Amino acid sequence: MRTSIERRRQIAAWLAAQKCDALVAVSSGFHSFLEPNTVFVLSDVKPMAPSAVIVRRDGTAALIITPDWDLHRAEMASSTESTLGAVDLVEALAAALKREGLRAERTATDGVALLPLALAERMHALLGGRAQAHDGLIRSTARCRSQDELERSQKATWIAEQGYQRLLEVARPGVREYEMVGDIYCHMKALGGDDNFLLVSASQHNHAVRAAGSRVLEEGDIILAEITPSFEGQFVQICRTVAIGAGPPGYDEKYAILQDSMQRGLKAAVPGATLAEVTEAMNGSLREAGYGDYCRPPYMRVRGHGLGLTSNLPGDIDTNNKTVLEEGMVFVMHPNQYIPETGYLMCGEPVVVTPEGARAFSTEMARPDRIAV
Amino acid sequence: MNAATGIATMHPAVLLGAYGLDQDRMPADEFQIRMAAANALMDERGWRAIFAYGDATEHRELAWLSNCIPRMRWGIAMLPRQGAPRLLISMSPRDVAAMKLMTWIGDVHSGWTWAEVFDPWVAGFCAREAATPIRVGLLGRELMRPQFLETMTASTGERIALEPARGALASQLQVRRPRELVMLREACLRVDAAAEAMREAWHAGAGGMAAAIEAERAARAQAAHDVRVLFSVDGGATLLPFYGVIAGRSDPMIAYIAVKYMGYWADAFVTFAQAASPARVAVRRALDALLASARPGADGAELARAAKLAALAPHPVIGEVIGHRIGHSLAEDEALTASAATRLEPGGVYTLRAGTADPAAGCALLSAMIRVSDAGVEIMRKSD
Repeated sequence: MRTSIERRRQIAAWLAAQKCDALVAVSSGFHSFLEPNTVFVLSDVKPMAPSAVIVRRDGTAALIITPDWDLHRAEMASSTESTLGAVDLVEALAAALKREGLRAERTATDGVALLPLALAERMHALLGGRAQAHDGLIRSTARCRSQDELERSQKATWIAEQGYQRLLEVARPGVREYEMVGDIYCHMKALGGDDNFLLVSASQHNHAVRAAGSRVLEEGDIILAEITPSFEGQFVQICRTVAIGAGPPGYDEKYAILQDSMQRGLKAAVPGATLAEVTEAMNGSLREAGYGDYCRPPYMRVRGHGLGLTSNLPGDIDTNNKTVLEEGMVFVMHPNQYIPETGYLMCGEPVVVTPEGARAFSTEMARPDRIAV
Repeated sequence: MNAATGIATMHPAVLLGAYGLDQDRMPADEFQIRMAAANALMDERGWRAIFAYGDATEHRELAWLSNCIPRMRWGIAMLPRQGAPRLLISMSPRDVAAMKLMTWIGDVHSGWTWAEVFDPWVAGFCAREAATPIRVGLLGRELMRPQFLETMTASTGERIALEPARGALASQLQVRRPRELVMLREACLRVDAAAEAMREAWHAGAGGMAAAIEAERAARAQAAHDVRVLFSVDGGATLLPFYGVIAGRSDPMIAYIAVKYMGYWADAFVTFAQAASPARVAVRRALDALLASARPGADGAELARAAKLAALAPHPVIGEVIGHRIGHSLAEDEALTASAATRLEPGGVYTLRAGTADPAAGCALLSAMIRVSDAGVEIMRKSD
């Protein structure tokens, strides 16, 4: 059974428990690799513009997609029983609710909080403020990946690793950052990476990774790469560091601290552990090496985070996150860290939680790479 | 973007292309001129500040005033009539240094530390102003998520009256300034380079997706800030965004290509075919007629009559829309249609299009971009 259909069955059971007749899940068409897309989760269709899925209490569903000319693509991909193309989402939704006799007070919603006000206020007016807002319902329902989703995550990781290999081939002194990034972005797209949170930048002493600019690569630069492709809606992320030339003094030694942090994190991320505990385990490597004071912004952000478009749970790998890990949760674990002697270094893998700890999807773990000049 | 008028494309998770404030091409005096216009608006409306909000999807007013374009979330510029402006961007404190490269505003902070960066600024602003409540124009309210507005109004409380200001700067934004025209022409060059790369790849035997990737590659090799491509593998009846691996090749191949360069979009519909088709011939004729009829003051009805494809069905991707303004957004303001009162106005840059998906004649889509001035119409680019 398709995962989206199974998730709709879970939603149907939830609707029955809540004494609701339907769930209206909406999406603006905006995509973040850090947020779930409710329409995608419930229909398998990644929308380009405002769209909605109506899930009924019997588990059947209707997809309303805009623009109307996108109907054919949506119909081909959607797991819903019916698909409707619309010019205006709210008008189409109003007609659908009326046609099906669904009353606002017995309707739940998810995703309205993520809409821009222009759309959220129209939704509010449509439902008269009587619908029950349950923003986060889909995020919670989809918090553990299905087998099919894990396979897509695996494929996305393969694409990311191919992208990194391409980077190692094209990154040379004299190449501009945007030329390098444009090339590897298109390389991954050809492999099926339809979206990509791709930040790659270079400097002699990095403080963070950023979007590519016009800077020309030169010997002595350290290239930071946050490669985050999506394959059919499943984002993954690998974080890599490569020096052009030998790298700064202590490059291998300092990078080994991050590798040790990663290993501790993988071991700690077992079902039942909290992300705060995982973070503590990862920070231990830095503390023992004398960098405890650097385990905070602006020297790092978080030790990893969830990944859309399915569910961004378990959230940030951070000392304040008490979320309990469950088998099948997917996130990126990255002990990326500013080290005074070397600058910012990146080391990260997409992982899935298993009873033995977190398992990386990557075939090769991050290491302090070099490009010979 | 208004999905009813513009072409919907797949929004990316991050605007990953090169973008910054290049003061050689967008000098400080340009923003002094723009801020003078904003100040005049404040004086006219009785506002003591403008708050301009935008996100990675839509950021027209924020970008015009600050040059900042959020890469993945939101940004808000607080621009007081008197005193120093502040820009907040929803990125971590670690990322602020990179964000500063996008704007002339020196006081840039992470929006994640709201209580430390918004509230103190507001406290200082309120202390300087005598009135209560202080009237502030709010640009981009319609783009905010509900919780953002709640957070902001909780911070401002009764001290500030936030007055929705949608469209208040329209008369300024609709007349392209010289520095903007330079960027728009650069964007046109890049969209044409992308179209040419796609054409070459398709004629060399590439499938629809592979040819589309070559278009994107060409644009990104020329420092594109953002690229959107929709392509066909069914003869042009439908257009697809990238998603997984899409096999197939069709003749003709139709595509929509949009390239953003230094904050400004150019777009193109293109149709490639091995042999001339009745649809392409008719659409070419319609686009030529549309461009010939384009003049300052021409309305949608007049343009629609010129572009009418006798006995051929319109292409569903464009429907009844003949065109619209283009710039910071892919589709700006009211569309040009047969029934709308919208006119081509001097100072504006527009994208115009013609297309058909006809069961007998086949499919074709072509477009052009024009600049309208008091002297007439300049064709900035045109699909072959």
